[in-house]
This record gives sequence, C-alpha cells and structure tokens, in this order.
Amino acid sequence: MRTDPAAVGSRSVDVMNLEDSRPTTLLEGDGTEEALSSISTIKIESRPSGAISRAVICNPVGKTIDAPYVIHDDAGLILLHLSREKPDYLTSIARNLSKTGGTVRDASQIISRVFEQERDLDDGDSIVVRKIGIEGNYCIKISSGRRGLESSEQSFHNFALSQGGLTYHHLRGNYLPQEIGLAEFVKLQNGCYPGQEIHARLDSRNPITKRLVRVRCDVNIEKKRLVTEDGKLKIITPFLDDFAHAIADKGVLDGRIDHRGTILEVKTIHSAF
Amino acid sequence: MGLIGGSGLGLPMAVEVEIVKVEIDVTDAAKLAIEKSMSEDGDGSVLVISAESGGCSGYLYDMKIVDKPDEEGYQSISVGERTIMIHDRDSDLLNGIVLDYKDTLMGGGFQISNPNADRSCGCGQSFG
Repeated sequence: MRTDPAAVGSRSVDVMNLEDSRPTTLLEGDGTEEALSSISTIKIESRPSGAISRAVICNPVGKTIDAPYVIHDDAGLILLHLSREKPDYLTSIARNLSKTGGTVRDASQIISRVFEQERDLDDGDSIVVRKIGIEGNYCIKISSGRRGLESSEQSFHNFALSQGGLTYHHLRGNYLPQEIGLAEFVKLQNGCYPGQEIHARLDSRNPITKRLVRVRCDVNIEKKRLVTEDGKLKIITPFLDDFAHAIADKGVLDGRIDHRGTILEVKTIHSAF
Repeated sequence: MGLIGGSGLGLPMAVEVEIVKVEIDVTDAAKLAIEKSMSEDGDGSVLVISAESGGCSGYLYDMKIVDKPDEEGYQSISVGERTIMIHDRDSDLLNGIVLDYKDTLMGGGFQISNPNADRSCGCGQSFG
C-alpha cells in the first residue's frame, strides 16, 4: 500500500505500513511498575491490560537514553524501546525483579509494532497508540506475531524525521528529555531516579527554554550550530530527504528562517514519539 | 486478552546478572554499630544489604534487619556474633564494599565505600 506523499510531507516516506524493528522487552512478575518507576523520570502506575504509559530513562547526568512506550498487558509490562540495541538498564530491572521471582525477557520475536495512518486503522487484535507524528496523523499498532512488513532502518528514519519521532541520534545520552520533546514525562515527584538531581536543579535554577524542532530544508546542512537573527538552532540529526531535527532556542519561532540565503522551515515537535 | 500469553508461547532470552562470591570489609566502628542496632533482635535476625535500582546515580543501597530469609540465593558473612546477608543478584555490585560507621550529626550513620561504583551521589546512598 502506498501513502500520499503530501500527507506526510516527504517524498521519501512512501510506505504506509512501516514496521519498526527496534527491541521490545517483557517485564514479568510482581513489582514491575515499581522496578521501572525507580529508574524512570515518571512514575508508572498499575493500569488495566491494554493501557499505555510512557517511561523516560536518563543517565546519571540527566541525559536521555531511552523513552519506551509501556504497554500494560496480562503477561506484564511490554516495553517498546526507542534505542537501537537492547538497553543496559534492563539489567538493573532484572536484578530487582529476580528477588521476587520476576524476569526480564526479550519480546522482539513475539511483539511487532507498525506505523500506520489513522484513516486506515483496523484495531483488530492489537493495541494502538493513537495520534502520533507532528501532525497527529499516525498511530503505532502493536500486535503479537510478525507481519512481514518492511522494517528497514532507513525507511523508519525518514519517517521519524519527517513526523517527529526519536531515533538513536536523540538517545545517545547527549540531550536532556526537555530538549527532545519529552518534557511532559519529567515529573520530579517520582523521587530519586538517575539524573533526577540534575533535573531538579534545572527546574529550580535554570528552566530549560530549548525545544525540539523539525527543520525542513532542500540544502543538506551538516550537523552543526546555526546562528540566525533570532537565536541558535543546533542540528542534531543528518538531513534525510530534506528533513532533520534540531534543538532551538526560544528566540527561534516556528516558520521560515532565512539563514544566509538558505531557507529553513522550522516546526516545533511538542511530544516526540 | 493480552498481547502475550496463551499456550505454547515462549519468550526468548531472559536477562541474567552475574553472581560472584562476596567479600566485604566491616570496620570496627561499623561492627560496634551493628551490634548496637541489633542488640534487641534475636539470634535469628540478620542484616541484609542490597542494591536496588534507582537513586540519582542508578542504584541505591538498602540495609534491613530482618529474620533470616528462608529462600535460597543469599550469601552469608559473619561479623562477630552477627550475620550480614547479600543476595546473589547483588553480589557483583556489592563485592568488595567497605562498610563503615560515622558518628556525626551531619551525614552520620553507616557509610558504604564501593570499588565497583563509577560514581556516587552526594548523599552517599546512590551509586552507579
């Protein structure tokens, strides 16, 4: 099935159903919510099967290393990681769960996630994360069993950059969650988690004014800091088919920017998927 | 019905943690403090030291006086008349620690120095 390029705003995203092959994990046993909450910026509450939460995991200096969707399932908590590889923090969760008989298992061979356009949505026997993407046109459909769709990393990257999704460029421990569209998931009330001390200091002394933006430009600009008349724009991903992501100062407003004759189109990513 | 479940559905690769034989040092001050803390507890009580995920640096120390656990998987270390127990799952993180006690008003109490920690929080209770 082909998508309407205009609907996505990118000529490179030509696959309607795009499978995401990044790892997934099942947390089983008692206390899974507590174990995940202990390292997440936000508390994961116990919820009925089929509900969806989101965790954000940071390193001790408060920079983001993963922001998995959390699917509450009869079997336990299913984590849809955004990192390329199975993340190291699973070992610390496994350590906690093992004391109560719980386990941490790879679910990649059982769970698949597919990005689809909302209008073609068929819930079927699956769980759906609705209205993702910079225009809210997409969903993530999670189901058991592989579907044999395209799962090329390149296709996913094109999709993510055009629609406001996070890639490994965002999650290498270089950026605060507030800088990459995850501010709504930082809750200091969750107590002590890796990086909480940094987040608390920033919150009280120097609130973050930077934000994640999508930049569209038909000139391939390398990853670097651009100084415009209005402020600074730091390109943090490569350009893929005219799109890249950047971290913008508050002075940089959405819209068209003329940077030394190069036109950039800037759009805020309010909540990165 | 959940996404995962049903008969005959197996999940591959559980995450495992390394298990090592634990050796710890307990200073004289800490031995006295343990005796004092456990003076009203029976012989069946033990001090369990564990590492929980969380804290500013990734892990948190936890110390509890409990009845000797029945379950398998704990290693015992004798300290005078008392016993310290550490779960196998925490053995790689807690092997080699030095348990001390500081009798000061500010920041006093049991202190753990951990050679496995790359970093630690200012409060002394979190490490990573």
